[in-house]
Amino acid sequence: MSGVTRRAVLIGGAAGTAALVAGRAWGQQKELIANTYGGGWEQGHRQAIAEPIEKKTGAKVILISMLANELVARVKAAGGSRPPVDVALVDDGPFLTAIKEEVFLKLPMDKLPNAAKLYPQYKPKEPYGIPIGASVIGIAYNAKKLKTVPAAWEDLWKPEYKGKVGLCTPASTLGTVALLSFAKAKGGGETKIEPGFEAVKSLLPSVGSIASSPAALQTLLERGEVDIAPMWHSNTLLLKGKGTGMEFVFPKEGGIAGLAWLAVTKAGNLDLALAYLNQGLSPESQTLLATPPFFFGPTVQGIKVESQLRGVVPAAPEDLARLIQIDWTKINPARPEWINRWNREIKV
Amino acid sequence: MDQSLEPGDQGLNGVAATAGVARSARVGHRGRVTSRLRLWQLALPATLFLSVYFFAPLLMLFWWSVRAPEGRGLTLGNFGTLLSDPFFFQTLGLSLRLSFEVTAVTLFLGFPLAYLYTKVGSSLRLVILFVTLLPLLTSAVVRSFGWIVLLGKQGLVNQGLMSLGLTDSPVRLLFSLDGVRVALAQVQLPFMLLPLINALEQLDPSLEPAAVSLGASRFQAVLRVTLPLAMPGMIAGAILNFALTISAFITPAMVGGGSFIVMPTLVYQSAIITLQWPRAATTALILLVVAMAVVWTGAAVTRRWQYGPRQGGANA
Repeated sequence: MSGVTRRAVLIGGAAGTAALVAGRAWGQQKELIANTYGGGWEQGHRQAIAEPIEKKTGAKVILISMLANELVARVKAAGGSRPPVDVALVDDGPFLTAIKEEVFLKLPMDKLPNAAKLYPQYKPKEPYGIPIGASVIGIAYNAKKLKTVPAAWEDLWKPEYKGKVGLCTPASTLGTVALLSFAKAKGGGETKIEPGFEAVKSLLPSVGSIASSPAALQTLLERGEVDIAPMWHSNTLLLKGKGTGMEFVFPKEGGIAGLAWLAVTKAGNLDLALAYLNQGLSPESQTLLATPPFFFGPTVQGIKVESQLRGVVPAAPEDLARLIQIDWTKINPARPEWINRWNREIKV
Repeated sequence: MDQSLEPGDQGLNGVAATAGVARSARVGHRGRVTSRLRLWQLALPATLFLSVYFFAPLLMLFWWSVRAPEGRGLTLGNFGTLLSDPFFFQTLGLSLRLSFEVTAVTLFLGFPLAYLYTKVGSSLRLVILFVTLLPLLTSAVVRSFGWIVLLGKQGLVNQGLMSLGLTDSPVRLLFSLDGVRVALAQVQLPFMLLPLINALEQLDPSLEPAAVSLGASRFQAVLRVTLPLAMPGMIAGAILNFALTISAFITPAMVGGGSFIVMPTLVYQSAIITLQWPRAATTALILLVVAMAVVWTGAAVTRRWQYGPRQGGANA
């Protein structure tokens, strides 16, 4: 008995381990793995990009849900071995980090004909990715509960909003940009964040809750825990669609655009990955992604959005002119210290 | 997200499990070399699995913790930086405090429930088990959302308190340490309850009546006979709860929000957000050492409790 058992146990153990390791090695021929941030992102990218590509090429597109920071960390951790995705969706900060960590491929832009129509402001400085959608950070507020419509960042300090303001920690892009916006409103900037921290501290008596992620902040706004907060336009419009009374305003100082980038990892499958990127920039995909419930700002010129979304979803040159630019090449090196300082100093 | 951080607690359990297997093999079959060898082979798949998925990552953790933050070279500077930082100790202190408090709450709630379990019929037993285990069947994210609905300003708890006239304005429960304590105690109650039930069921049911017949009240009998005898179960439950709380990441982030941070949050920020891997590894390693020190102390106390007094009695 012992001989058989021993062999069975050994083979079983080895096979189990091997199966766990090998996992996705089979059938990688015509298969593309891309990440989204889940929710509306996944739904939008499935309909607008994945399904058309599957139809055109016969390949299978698998969308997994993974946030940008985690994705970059995992691709970096994969080192020489196969990264978790072929195509990565990341936002500005992590995109630049990933380029610095050399985890993305330099793209042959001549194989991406649709990229020719990108807005000049949105064009990548180096060809390591293409912007698939623009989101704007501005002020979300509940019009059903608040009498005064906010117009500028400094309106958050108004006494009538006391206890109703929500914030997000700088561990998220949203929180980082909000902190920087406060700094800019008070005479600071990317290399001078001090005024931002002073502003946040003076705002604390008005702050009802600090969320650890935009998703958590969205829940707080939806549940009425807070009624006004720096927020992404897409989350705000999603809440508005649910009948919460949520409205979005560009602050007087200007909204800040965040771009979502598609990049290709060193996972092979380059042709399929390029087809995916090019499809994402096609007029039909960009139009679909700009409609409810997705609301992603088009990155290529000539896309029309529905009239009620005009002025909220950035889709025309005049909308772009109302955006202020921030410099992630300066933010990224300073960000660990901002997060560190926030951990220590900002407590509700 | 949770998968990348949970290995910490699985690791602790893994160590405990391996140690347990090794011990029983030694004690149970002393002198029978051949059968001991075969038993050892039974542990081979698990050993292989742990080598690949636990010991190798742990070695990498050591390796990263002594790497210089920038460029090449080895250094102990990462430890120096963290251990000279008062905020680091503050966070470590908060994590330890939270873990002890949650453990105390589950013990306080778990013992009466486990005691009740041993005294009721099988259908009621099923109900107790089902209700306590239920939270484990949902994901941490869904569960945390439930707590937001319950504990929020507009939540059920606050509405109840206000309609009863107990408070005029909503009490701050969400995004506070209190909320995190409640949420963690709820999901971790089974890890206290099951070892306690196990310990209580092994007790001779005639012990309590014997104590009562000798003049103790029923309460005294429980307090002075049953409770001390259930100590091994309590400590096993406490170790599990402590290890789970100190490595908990999602619940403090979701229910606690961004208003305070615990050690796993620090590790997450360094590892994922800012990509400072040497710092992340060092933080994780210090947390691991502190947690293991507490767990080993607990285990040592259990051994003392089980064997110490008895041996002492025999000698005297």
